[in-house]
Formats: sequence, C-alpha cells, structure tokens
Amino acid sequence: MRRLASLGWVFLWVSSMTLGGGMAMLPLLERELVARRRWLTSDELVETIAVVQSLPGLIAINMAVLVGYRVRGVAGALVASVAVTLTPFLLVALIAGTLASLSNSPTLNHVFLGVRAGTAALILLSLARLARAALDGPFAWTVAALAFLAAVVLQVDLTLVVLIGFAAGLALAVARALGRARRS
Amino acid sequence: MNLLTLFLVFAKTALLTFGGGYAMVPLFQNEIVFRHAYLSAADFANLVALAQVTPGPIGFNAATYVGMVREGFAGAIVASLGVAVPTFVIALAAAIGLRRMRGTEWMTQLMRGLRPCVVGIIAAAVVFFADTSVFTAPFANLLAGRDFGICWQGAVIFAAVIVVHRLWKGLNPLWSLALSALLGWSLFI
Repeated sequence: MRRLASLGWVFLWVSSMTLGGGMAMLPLLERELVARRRWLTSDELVETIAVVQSLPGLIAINMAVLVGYRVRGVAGALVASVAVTLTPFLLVALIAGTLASLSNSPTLNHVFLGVRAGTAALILLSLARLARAALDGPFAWTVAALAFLAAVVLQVDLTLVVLIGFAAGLALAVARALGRARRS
Repeated sequence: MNLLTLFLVFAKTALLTFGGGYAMVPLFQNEIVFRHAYLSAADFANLVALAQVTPGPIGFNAATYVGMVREGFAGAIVASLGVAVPTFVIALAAAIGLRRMRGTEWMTQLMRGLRPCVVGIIAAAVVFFADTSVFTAPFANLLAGRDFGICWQGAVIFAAVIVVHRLWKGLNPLWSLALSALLGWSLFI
C-alpha cells in the first residue's frame, strides 16, 4: 500500500513538473526510480523505453503502465497512469474552460524556451549515465549512431527507428544460436 | 456530435499513433480539423502552442482541450479517456507479455540490440528539445548545409544546467528546471 502510494506520488509530481511529455520526464524518473528508490536498474529503464517507443499511444502513459506494472502489478499500472494524467487533465480543462491563451505572452514564451533548453541538458545528462551500461562495444555504438542519424537526419518515425534495434537484437540472437549449433 | 463519437475518434487516433510526441500532431490535425471539424486550423495551431506550455503528452492535452471546448467537462473526461484507455490496455498487455518472456536467451539477445538503439533515440530527444531552444533552426539543417543558428540565451541555459549538475552530483533536476525558467525570463530582458 505504501509502495502504491509512493508510485502514484512519483508519477504525479514528475508529470506535473515537466513540459513536453514522455521523454521530458526521463531525467526526473531516472532519479526517482533508479537512483533513489532502486525500483529499476538503468538497463531495465532503457528496456522499458524500448518497449514504450514500439507501442501505439501516448509515451507518458505507456511509461507509467510499464513501470507501474513492474513495481506493483496491475494496481501499480493503474495508479501510475491516473497519476501521470491528472495534472495535465485538470490544467488543460481549466485553461480551455476559461479560454485564456498562455502561449501569446512573450515573457512566458521566454520562460518556456528556458525550460526546453534545460530539459535538453537534463536529458543529455541522463543519456550519459544510461549509455555507460548500454554501449558496451563497437557493435552497440554503431547501432546507437544509426538510430540517432535515422531519427535526427532522416526524421524516420521513432517506431521504425526501434526496428533498427530489433534487427540488431535478432542478428545477435541468430549469431548466438548458430555459434552454439556449430560447437555441438 | 455525442460523447460516444468523441470517445471513439480519440481512441482511434491514439491507436494509430506510434512513437508519441510530435509524431502525433499531423494525425490529430487530420482527425480534429479536417475529418470532424471539431476545431478550425487556427485553433488547432493555438492548441499545439498551448500543449507546449502545459505538462503532459501533447496527444492527451489535445484530447482534453477538444473535449472541453466541444462538450464541456464531461466531454473533456470522455475525450481524455478516449486516448488513455486504449493506450493503457495495450501497454498492460505488453507489460504482462514482457514479464513472461524475460530471462529467455532470445529476449536477452534482443535487448542487447534494443538498448543501444534506445540510447540513439534518447540522443535524438536531446536534439528535439534543443531544436526549439538552443538552436534557431532544426539541427538537421546544419548537417544538410541549410540555414542554422544558435540562440545564445538557450545555449547559456543549456551549459548552465550541465555545469550545475557537474558541480552538485545528485542535485534534484527540479532545481535546474527552476533555474532554466528563471534564466529564460531574465536573459531576454
């Protein structure tokens, strides 16, 4: 029960404090889930993102369901998804209701530009920590570089970029299976 | 238009969207503006701008906004559930399936391929956020030899956050987000 409550709390405040949805939550989630609470290892967080990116729907909810389920089963998935959507729902319903337009204020636009720049830096810092475990050799570096170039330069849909990882994983699995067949 | 249609339209749109984030925008625009005429093109542009300055996923913000504008609070709830419920069901099925397969040799190898791929995707997310803050034009333009520039305020904020986290290991990122907002406000004066 205690764990369920803190799971809800983590997703509630992380989603309330970040602008930009799924990936913007990564630095805060990494700190809460991996560094502080040790509910996931950094490899498990990276695997979760792989699954999240290959599913349809909203990244933030996918992330909440996968993490919530790992930590506390179906109840955890439910609590985390409600928590992750609560603040965005109330805030947008309120703004749409009063028809106020936040985006027309130049001052606020500058504040949010600052937040986006800060978010970019925070994701880079998370990346540096997560990459240490994931990039364990030249093969992994090549896959990472291909995925980055496909996403940024060719602007390939991220779901298709994940296929690069699937192909690399399948190649490794087949190579392993062939190696074993040859030995026996 | 009734609440059921609203639910179905957003459920369908969420199910068709892979990759999340701004990949969703054209698809949502197609459904909301062109097919169902829930919003005008200008209102949709405002909605995208609004979604950038409110927390939460853009697809979810869009659903809440359209529901609220068209059918009031009940509409906001129904449209938001429309994007959230199918996403939840599929992700839960994936989470359960993943647990069953964990530890098998094939899964271990598959993850060895997927992990570096995700590192590349996270690196792309850095560029995505920097594209509208640190850079004045998309980073891809630099590689293609087209118009590109750096917004010095964005670059200063980016560097400040990196330096602050190097100096204070384990600092809560919330503080550096507050610092970014403060610098964003003050550097442009």
